[in-house]
Amino acid sequence: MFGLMAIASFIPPLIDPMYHPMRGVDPEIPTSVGPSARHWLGTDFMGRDILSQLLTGTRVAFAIGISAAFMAVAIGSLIGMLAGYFGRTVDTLLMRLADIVMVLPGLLVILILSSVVGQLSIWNLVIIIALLKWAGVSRVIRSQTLSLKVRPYIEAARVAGASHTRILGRHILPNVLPLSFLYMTFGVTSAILIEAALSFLGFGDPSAVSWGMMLQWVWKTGHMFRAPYWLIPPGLCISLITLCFYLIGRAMDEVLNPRLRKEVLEQ
Amino acid sequence: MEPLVTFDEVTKIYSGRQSLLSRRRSKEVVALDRVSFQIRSGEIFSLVGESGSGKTTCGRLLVALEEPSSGRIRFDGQELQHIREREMRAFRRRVQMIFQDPYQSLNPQLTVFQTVVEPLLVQRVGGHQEREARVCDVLEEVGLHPAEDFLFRYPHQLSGGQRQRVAVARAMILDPSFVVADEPVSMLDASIQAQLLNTLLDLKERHSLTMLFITHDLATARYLSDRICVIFRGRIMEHGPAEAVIQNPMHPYTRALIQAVPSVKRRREDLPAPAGPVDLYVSPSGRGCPFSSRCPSCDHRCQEQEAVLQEVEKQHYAACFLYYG
Amino acid sequence: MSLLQVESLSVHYSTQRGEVHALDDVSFRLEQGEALGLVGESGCGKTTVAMSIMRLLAENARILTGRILFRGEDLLAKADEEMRRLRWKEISMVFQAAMNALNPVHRVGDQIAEAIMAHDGAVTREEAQRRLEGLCAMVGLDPARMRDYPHQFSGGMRQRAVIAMALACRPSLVIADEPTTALDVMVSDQILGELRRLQLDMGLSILYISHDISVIARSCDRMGVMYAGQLVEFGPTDELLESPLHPYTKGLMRSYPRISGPKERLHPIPGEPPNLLRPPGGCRFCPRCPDAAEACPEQRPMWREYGGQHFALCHRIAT
Repeated sequence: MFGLMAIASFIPPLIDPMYHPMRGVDPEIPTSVGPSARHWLGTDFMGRDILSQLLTGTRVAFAIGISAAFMAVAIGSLIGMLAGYFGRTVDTLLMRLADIVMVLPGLLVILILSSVVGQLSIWNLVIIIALLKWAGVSRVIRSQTLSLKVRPYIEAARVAGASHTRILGRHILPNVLPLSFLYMTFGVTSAILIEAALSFLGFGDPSAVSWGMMLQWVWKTGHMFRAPYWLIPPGLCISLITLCFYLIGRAMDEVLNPRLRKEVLEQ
Repeated sequence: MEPLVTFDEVTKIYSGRQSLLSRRRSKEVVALDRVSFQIRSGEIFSLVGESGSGKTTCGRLLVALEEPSSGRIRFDGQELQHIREREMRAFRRRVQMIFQDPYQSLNPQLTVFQTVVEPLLVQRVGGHQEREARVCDVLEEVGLHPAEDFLFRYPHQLSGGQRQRVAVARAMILDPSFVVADEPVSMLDASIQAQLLNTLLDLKERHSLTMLFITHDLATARYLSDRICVIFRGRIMEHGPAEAVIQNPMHPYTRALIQAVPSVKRRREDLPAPAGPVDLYVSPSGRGCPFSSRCPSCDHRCQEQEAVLQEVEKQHYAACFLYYG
Repeated sequence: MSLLQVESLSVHYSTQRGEVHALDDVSFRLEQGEALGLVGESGCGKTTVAMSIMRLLAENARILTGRILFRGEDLLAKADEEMRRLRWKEISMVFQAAMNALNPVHRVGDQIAEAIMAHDGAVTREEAQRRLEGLCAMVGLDPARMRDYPHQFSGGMRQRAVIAMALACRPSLVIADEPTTALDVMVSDQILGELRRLQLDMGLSILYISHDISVIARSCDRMGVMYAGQLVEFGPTDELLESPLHPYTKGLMRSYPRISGPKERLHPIPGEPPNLLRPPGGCRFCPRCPDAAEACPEQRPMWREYGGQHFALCHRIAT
């Protein structure tokens, strides 16, 4: 459903420049008004259409959520696997690194960075989130790897002469992926929430419309209690998309784990 | 003739990792203590022992999954420790292993085909067509028939016996000269066990295989092997031709083992003496014969010194003071 | 009146893939003071029998028909509360791999004492301690070691502890499900011997369940052979092992390598047990039977006696 919304977000500006989320200003309506025929969800304080904003926000949510989560999980899984598989010094080094990262107070780091760098663009945000979140994933993947490492089929591969790369790629990775995907879905939800929170607090990218941004505008312009049609949709969207990704995670687990696939009766 | 495999005073010690906080030296477990034996080409050699005897460790050392703490292992004239990386690949083609647990020895994410073809891919053998053909052939050989039915199944869709056959297929696909079978039938039902034992016998004949068969079951060892070696607590107690060891056991431990093997036919009415506080194997003092605490023929010498393997009759050795002098 | 009488017990499990016909019309009796064994390979239903008697079947199990009479009363008709009172006091069980079921964070002695107090409400701690020492003597454990944790015990000792727990409330019937599977041969031999002695000394009735015929051969007065959810042969142990009637029993006995006697090639039963989602119509062993005749795949065999209380389920045995 959210996919549809993202795609749909491209449509409104094409209809009429007036609908452009940022720049389109309805000349007739200079302030925030409730839903009407011309603006299905009403307009914000500058007269911009809320629905278009909502739709664009979807794009942002997806972009940030998925990229940040993907990067975090990719980094985390790789490091976790290497640490678990090679053990000893490699393990200790990597895990100490992970510990340091985990301990960093995320929000604080972001705030400091943004005050130093100025306004953060979307992509900066994505990278920062990824760099902060990989550590949690790596610990879990590492313990999974540790337990897989001693399974007889891994030893059988070694006895056949498989190189470390092959074992990691062919045997450990596929068994670790389901877990990675699950964490990715958690990652998506938390990335979206982080971005929303940051935008809400004013640290987001003002040139990009996101749901958090929308909430910030509602708040900043004092419309919080006066314009429910403006306040509710972004909030609702954030909650729903979180739920959405969680369910996707569960479904992915089933697809990737052959044992969970419901079997077709034979004969 | 030069034996194919030689274990020469092989010792393996596992030490637990020391905790950062404790000053004590962590416990050491001596899994193997100066173990020596030889396996001749073309024979099935059984290593029989109970849990904790070190038999599995021997197997793992032989396939170079681990290294001995001291001593030498020779395969076809070459010392394992001195094999260089390049030669390792060739070694791996000749020596393979069948693991005990059919539920853990196959990667649950791979199909039967993927599992069995893996060694071929690793060793870069043949082209796609040839590999497919070889996989089908070996599956048929181990009794998975028709092979096409099994190629794309996952382990969880197979029974224990079928999984174990896949494990055997995987071990055989490189056409090795030597196979270590670590309790390959222990976890299977009786009738499936028997089927698999026969399959192993047939494979041995057809491929002139040499096999190290690791087991806790003397009856199975007798059925399958040419020579039997009895190991207890990391030391060899007795070894010799299978029939000789079974019909005429020398070492008291071997005798006790044979006594304890349950019989399918007869019911035994002999009841053990009323139980006192008992734990069959009290930790050994570290010196002397490890079986001394339980041995009916034990004397003071047994607790102080270790007996060395003596040839008691032709090719039949026992490590016991009963046979000294 | 027999101590335990299982009559026409049929149990199905409902699974995602359909109904598994786990037990089909199983009937047998166990007398007071007797050791009875059920032998069969995995999937034959023997554990289901045990769980049915204890009323500990899984959620998805359905008892289709049958009665289980204990001292004349049908266990299947009892309410949960009544069953709870019976369990452990009258009928107790040593589960499969029980030695791994000991709680690793509690001392062994405490766990046994717990078992005593949990099922015998009137017992005080002191009384439980005394009984504990008695139990230790019975099973061959050193009372001084009761303060140890399970990981400090060897496999054999843990199994003895579990047996002690099963005997804690002096039940009339003990069900021993694979009592020695994970143990070494010598320890296993000793424990079976001790159980047999206990049984004879205390007049206990034990139902042994195992995939290993030798365990049953060693310990039981009478035995039953199960295959694919059915009881295919039943009779006095000596008689049954000496002259097995059912082709499956014969095949099973041929599957064990011998430690003594001449060395011969084994001729095990070919193939695998049937899928119990769709069990065959006639005789369930027919596809693997060397002796199959025309009637076998079509007709269900009859349970008949062949002299001396020796029963079998087969078309092909001459009377």
